[in-house]
Amino acid sequence: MARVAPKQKPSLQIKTNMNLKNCFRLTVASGVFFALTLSVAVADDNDNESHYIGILQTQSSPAEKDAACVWLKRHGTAQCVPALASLLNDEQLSHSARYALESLPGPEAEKALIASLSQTSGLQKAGVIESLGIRRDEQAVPALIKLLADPDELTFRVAASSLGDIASRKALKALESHLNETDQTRKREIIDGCFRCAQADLAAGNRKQALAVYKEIYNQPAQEFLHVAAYRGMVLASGRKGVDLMVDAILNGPAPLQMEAIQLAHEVPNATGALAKLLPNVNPLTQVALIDALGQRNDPAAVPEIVALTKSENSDVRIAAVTALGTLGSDKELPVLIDIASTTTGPIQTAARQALSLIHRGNPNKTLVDMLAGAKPETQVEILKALASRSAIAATPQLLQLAQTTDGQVQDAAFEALARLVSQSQLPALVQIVDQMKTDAGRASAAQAVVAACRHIQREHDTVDMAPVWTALRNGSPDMRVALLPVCSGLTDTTAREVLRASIKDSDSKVRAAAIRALCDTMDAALVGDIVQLVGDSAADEFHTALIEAFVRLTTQDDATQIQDSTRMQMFQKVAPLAKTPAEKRVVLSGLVMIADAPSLELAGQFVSDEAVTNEAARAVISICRTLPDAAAAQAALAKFISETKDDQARQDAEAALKLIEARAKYITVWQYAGPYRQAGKDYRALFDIAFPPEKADAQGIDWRPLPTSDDPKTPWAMDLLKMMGGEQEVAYARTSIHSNGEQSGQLLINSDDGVKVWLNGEVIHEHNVSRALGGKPDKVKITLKPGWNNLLLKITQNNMGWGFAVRLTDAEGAQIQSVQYAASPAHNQM
Amino acid sequence: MGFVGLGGQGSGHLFGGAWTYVAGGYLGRKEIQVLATCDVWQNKRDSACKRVNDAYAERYGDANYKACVAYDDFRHILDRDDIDIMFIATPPHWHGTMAIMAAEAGKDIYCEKPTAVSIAESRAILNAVRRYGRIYQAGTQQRSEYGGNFRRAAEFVQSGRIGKLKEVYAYRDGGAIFWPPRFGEGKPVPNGFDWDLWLGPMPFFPFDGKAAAHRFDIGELNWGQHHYDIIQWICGKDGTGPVEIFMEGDRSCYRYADGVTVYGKPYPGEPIGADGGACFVGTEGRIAVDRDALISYPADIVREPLRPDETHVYYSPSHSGNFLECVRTRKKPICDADIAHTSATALLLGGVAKQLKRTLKWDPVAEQFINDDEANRMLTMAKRPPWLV
Repeated sequence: MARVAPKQKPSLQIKTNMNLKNCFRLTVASGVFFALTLSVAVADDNDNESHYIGILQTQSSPAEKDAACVWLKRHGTAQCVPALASLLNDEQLSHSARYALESLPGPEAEKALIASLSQTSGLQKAGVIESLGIRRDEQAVPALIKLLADPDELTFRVAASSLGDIASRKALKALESHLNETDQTRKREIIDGCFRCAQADLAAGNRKQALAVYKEIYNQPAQEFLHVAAYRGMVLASGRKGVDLMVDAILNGPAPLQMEAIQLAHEVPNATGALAKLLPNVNPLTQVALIDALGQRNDPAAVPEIVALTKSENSDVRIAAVTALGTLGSDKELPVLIDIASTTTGPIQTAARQALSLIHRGNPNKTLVDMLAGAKPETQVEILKALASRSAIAATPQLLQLAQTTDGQVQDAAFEALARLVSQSQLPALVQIVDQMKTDAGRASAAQAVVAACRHIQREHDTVDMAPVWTALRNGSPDMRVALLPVCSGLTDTTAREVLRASIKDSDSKVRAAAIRALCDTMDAALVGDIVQLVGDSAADEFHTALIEAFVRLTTQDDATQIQDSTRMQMFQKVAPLAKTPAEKRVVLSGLVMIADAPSLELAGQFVSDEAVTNEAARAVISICRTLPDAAAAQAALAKFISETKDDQARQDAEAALKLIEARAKYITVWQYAGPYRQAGKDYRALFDIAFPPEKADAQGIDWRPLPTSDDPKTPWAMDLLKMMGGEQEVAYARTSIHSNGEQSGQLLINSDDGVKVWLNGEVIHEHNVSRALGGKPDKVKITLKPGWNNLLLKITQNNMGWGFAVRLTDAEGAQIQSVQYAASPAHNQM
Repeated sequence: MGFVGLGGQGSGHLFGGAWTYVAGGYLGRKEIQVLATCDVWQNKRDSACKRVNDAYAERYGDANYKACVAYDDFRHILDRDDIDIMFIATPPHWHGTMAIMAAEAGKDIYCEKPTAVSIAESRAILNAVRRYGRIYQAGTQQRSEYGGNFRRAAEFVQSGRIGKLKEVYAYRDGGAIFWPPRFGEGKPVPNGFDWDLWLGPMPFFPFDGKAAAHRFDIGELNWGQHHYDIIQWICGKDGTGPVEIFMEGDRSCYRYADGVTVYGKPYPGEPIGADGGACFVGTEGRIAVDRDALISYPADIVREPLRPDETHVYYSPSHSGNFLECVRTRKKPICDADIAHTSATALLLGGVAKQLKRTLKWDPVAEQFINDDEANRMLTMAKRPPWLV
């Protein structure tokens, strides 16, 4: 229990008792320099204390006196006690004086506080009583006992709690003598004082004394929670007999004591056996609570009784028992848990599987492996799941064996387990199993396990050596290769490419088909050329639709930026005419919509005259026009479409799109963006001045992506960053390039949500660190464009909610600027 | 439940917010009923109360529902037999006093961090909670939330995956509370605000226009208990404390009896740790953890799943859920008062060192500084009557 310094010998005492006279006498004996230093140090403290004592005793301001008390709290000695004590009845300064006196060691402070009891009143007196309790000095007890007769409520309460904190025999006796208080509030305060004494006794090991107090209070009429607290104390003070008290309460109640006994069941020592024996004799609700408590005790002595309850009629009890076995059980409990896992469903099965993953006593992994032999299939499945969840790597040889010699659900479970457990060195053995399977389905399962195992090894160790897989794919049997080819789909490395390309030309037709299927599922954009070639190859007709779908996916997915725009368009121009069915044409159109540049607009336009997909083509054209950065081209295409179409709805949609583009025309809408960038603990304001890679001259590898234009008719000019990235307390960058025919002045009008920093050709030209919405007056920045390409970089901060910007470029007078073009491709942008 | 303190934190817990991780907060939970809101600001307590009553009115289809009451003084909540739990989200200078009074009134308690502003107060809270057998949960929710990052770090470190633990870099150092200047010029107290009650056990001074929750903080009193709580947990030091506290530059640090040293600063070059976390350095690697991330050097240390034979610690997937479960079942909560006491003490010891700017020796059993009278005087701060406990 924490006590304040007073009971200890203060270390400063000796030093600060020296006065100047003594110091100078010492000088003669111990040398001038040393003594002078010592005397200066001592004189400093003495002078300071005298100084602050003086402040307390004169007409200084309350602020000065308060500051003196603060100094004296840390450095004051017995000398300052009278000055501090004189303030104890001062309404303004009593608390300041107590701040110092309460923790000042030594009998002088104690005496002064006790003396002030007769000189203070009201709140000030209550404060003094509290300080005496904090100091825990028995000297105060007689004075405090007198205060138990005080009519003032606060005085009484604090006297009771302070006597409780001091906890001497006398204090306790006095408190007990007031247990017959008729006023219920006072009685409660006396009980609290008694509890404090008993608690101190318990902490000091005086159980007998504590027990007497708790019993006395227990037998008093009082509020229920006090009764329960007394009961709690009795149990804790009764040693081994306390367990009997708990057992009695659990069996016979009343309910509040039963609850308290269950609470104590989590912590009271030497109680496991008695509590476990109770289990068969209490109702299900109590059984659940007891099982939970026994689990928290972490004492396996309760296991037999808990195992019996896994067969309870009550499902809550069964689940509680099974759950507890995870913490308490050993390998001996595995058969019970496996049985439950294999014969049930729902929450109890989940609980059993969870317990199986946790059991650590005995030799559970070995026992589980031993149980495999001769077990029923359902049982084997659960054993295999348990081994996987336990990361039982040592069991892998047996699992490999089982995978080869079983089928159906057991084989599937064995493969699932192997996928999680197989190490790099065991990978070749798993690959070999693919060849030993007798059916396509078996081989497919084994191959899936190989893929999963590779991913698992990669995740845990950052790298996986695929050599066993490549060897099998180059040299294995056709059946084996057919099963393993899907592995290549998830990879983007040279070996996978090489294997796929070779397999597409394989002499075995099944291997060729499997290779094409794998190609259709590939994530590797480098293979897109191979796909395009196959689209035109009649030998791959069976996969025509899948190949077109793969082509579109690869050329429009996120990392398609490695494919040059011009190359991509050439491929689309090659593939588009090869689309035969409406479904294939629709897929091509969807890809063109995602690319949304001028060539894709033209290509989409060619589909308008194709009756089979004329509606979809119209929608694609309109959609592309809405987001096309080149406003003139979009307007021309829409105008042409409007004049030619016979579809009323399509015409209306096109007219709406035209309005949108016109509204947007004055704004720069050709941008790339990169981000988001964050730093832990930094908000949008602080991030404004932190330089992330896009604003550093030498930064490499920044992922710049096209920023789509808005198709919201209300804010067609807004470039929306939130839609692309989401989030709060971050920044993103946007860049574009402005080509000017000659040198000219202009003006940028910038709206941003939230703050914006602007660089033109590498120089910061504008900063506004703010939180604001997008609408409202724009920031105006005068600029000078140099002839040729000018790089414009924005940094936009994000506080919360909306995030975006809008930029207009006008001439110096605010009118339409001439002779400029915009582009945001990498060729023009170097920062 | 009664909610005391309806600023950002309190409202977040009551109605739902980023760190409470339960949609709709406590009000959204069907297993409890909010019967009282309490704040020294009238507008806060009234608007929260109305929002509670409106929500229940809609939920139960009873337009006349008005069971929630708004109080200015939390003692009304203590007097109510029909309220089982007091939720404390006041400024920190009130936390200890209110928690002790709540325990003595027979309430179960959830108390925001820092759980105490002096070491003696922290011990008094634990004593009161144990005296009355109350369920107490400290608002150091990192043991339960954030995807189990901190729990896993505890399991990996205690299972020896980084070898023998040598050092911890706590990112933040110690904290304390200061005795404020008392006699400035006052300003008019706004209508509907009880300044005297806001001050509570702190010394009285005239209203100066500032009622920010952390205006009395020294150092890392606000965030520090989050860091030091998970450090105690991960090091396996719950229930114990350091034996030496020292300064490195202007940062407080401490050392346990077995030599493990905790530095109150980030690990050099390690970005992870700012968000309530720390970096643990052992003989075979290190682990850095905070709310957003758990990483190790080498990387495998945290990638391999925990095995059954390795150390498992208290599992709680929801801090509020764990609290309520323990109120119902009387199970020991994950951040019980004894854990809060040693975590708060670890923080506050640093606060003493920061103020004295020198090395201190601490006896974690006696809860006293050894041979250091000046430091021992800083174990307490006298409370203002009538807020005496």
